[in-house]
Amino acid sequence: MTYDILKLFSIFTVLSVVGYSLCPKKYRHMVLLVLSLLGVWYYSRWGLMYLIITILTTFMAGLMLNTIDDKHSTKGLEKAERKAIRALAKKRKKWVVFGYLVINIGILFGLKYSTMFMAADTIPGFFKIALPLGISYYTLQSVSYVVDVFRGKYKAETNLFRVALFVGFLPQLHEGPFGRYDVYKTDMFKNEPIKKENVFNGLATIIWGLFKIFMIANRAAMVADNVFQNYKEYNGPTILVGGIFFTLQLYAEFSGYINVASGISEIFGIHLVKNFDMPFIAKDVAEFWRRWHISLGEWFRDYVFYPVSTSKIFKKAPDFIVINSALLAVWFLTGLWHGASWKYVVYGLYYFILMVGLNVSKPIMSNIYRKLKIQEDSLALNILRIVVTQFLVVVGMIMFRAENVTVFFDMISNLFATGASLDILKVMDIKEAIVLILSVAVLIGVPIMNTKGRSIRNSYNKMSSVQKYLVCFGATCLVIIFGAYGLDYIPPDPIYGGF
Amino acid sequence: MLERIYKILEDIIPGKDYKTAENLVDAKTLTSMNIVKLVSRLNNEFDVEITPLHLVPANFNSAEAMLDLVEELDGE
Repeated sequence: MTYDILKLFSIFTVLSVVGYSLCPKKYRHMVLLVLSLLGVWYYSRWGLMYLIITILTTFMAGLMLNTIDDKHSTKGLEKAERKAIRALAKKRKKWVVFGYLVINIGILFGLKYSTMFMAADTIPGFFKIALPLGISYYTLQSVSYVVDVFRGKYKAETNLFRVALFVGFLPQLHEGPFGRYDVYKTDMFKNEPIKKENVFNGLATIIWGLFKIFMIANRAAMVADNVFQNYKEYNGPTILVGGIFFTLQLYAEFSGYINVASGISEIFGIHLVKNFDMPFIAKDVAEFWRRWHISLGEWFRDYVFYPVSTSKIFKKAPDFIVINSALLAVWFLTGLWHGASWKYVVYGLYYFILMVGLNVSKPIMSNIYRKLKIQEDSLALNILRIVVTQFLVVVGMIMFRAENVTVFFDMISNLFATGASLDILKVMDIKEAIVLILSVAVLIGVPIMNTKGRSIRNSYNKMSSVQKYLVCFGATCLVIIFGAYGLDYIPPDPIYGGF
Repeated sequence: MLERIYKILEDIIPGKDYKTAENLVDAKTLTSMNIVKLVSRLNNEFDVEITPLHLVPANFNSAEAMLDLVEELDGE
């Protein structure tokens, strides 16, 4: 699948560049739309049908919400009348959103979760197909559009093809990130010509992503797979090492694919939203999730956490109940979003418990620090916080990677058991290990240099075209020569691509 | 009105200078959980209905921005 999706992305990019360049300005975004739909069709015929249903219902729901708003104008009315008319409009709009959600969340649940809740022989035939490419991503992105129109954040789009491109833009379908219509619309429909600077920027971002996937993720997977497949043989520290390697694999792979998607989009002047911001320097789990898969966290904040916590049911409830009820909803759904398995639900609830623990312990710890006269923001304490947070993250990752909840608990109980240690050099040879260490040093070094004001991207941007070409060519050669791939190498499936 | 907003903010996160602060959300002084507490207090104190639509950084970056929001909702 690693090669399949990259092949699909490559064909999409080449054909889009050609089509986009030849097409009259007004219709350039149509080239991206047609090729995106063809890409989804190539991946799964039935998947395209479900994507089209989502596009049509999203578009129609938006238009219906526009119509209701227009028919319930409150201009020139008294305050009491305005309130009554607004309440009536809101009630009607809620029915539209409800109908839209029943169809689209129904499709998502039917295709993705029916095996979790229903016996195989009771699942309707139209839900027994391979999961359409990006269904978990495009459904949530489409929900954000309809809910934003419902809330009056912006008017619905009256051009079907624009809604279709926003929902079905191929590069973001594989692993995201989720964007908002008001953020993307300017870039997507500006139809600006392909510029040299955009091409060089896009290529650099794509190569950076490929570097992460082939130089780091695929190698870290060798160690992680060995530990997770043979965990019964290993002692506690080795299981922890396996968890750390899996965390590295997941981060490099997920952020790598996001870079590839962002780079492709950049070529056409479309800037996808940021999805990672140095998650491994987070000082608590809440901060970790503000830095990891940012677009998913923001989606759940805006469309689950805020609506639940500000709903009328909780009007008179104490803050503790309100916040924790909303957090429970967020983390249950976050877990479920990751996959049709109770393992992911437990993964979500694990973070819910950590968040509640964090909220309860924060004021207590502040009090203790004050009484012991310990400076709360000292370097030592911050380093300790980072270590504890990353340990908790790795435990979560072990749960994420383990085959099921029982295996996870087995592995966690083995954390304190004796047994064999993993000799990493038996999994990969010394050359592979050196390449991995150097690559991880680059992965850590680049963001550190950015924060110190020595941005690699700024230096790259100041180069001449020839220099940029040479940098891209050299970096591509490095990935081709030192990347982990080839006929004798079985690449791991993209983890987030399966969601 | 502004003084009442300062007091609510001080109750939720004590020890900050809310008279000069202009990037409470962007600087992550106010997290989403603090915002939920704040919304509940502002709704009760000023008898307005702040909905998820209003929960954007621009409305909560400063006490003045919160005052503008409350006044706008009060006029609706």
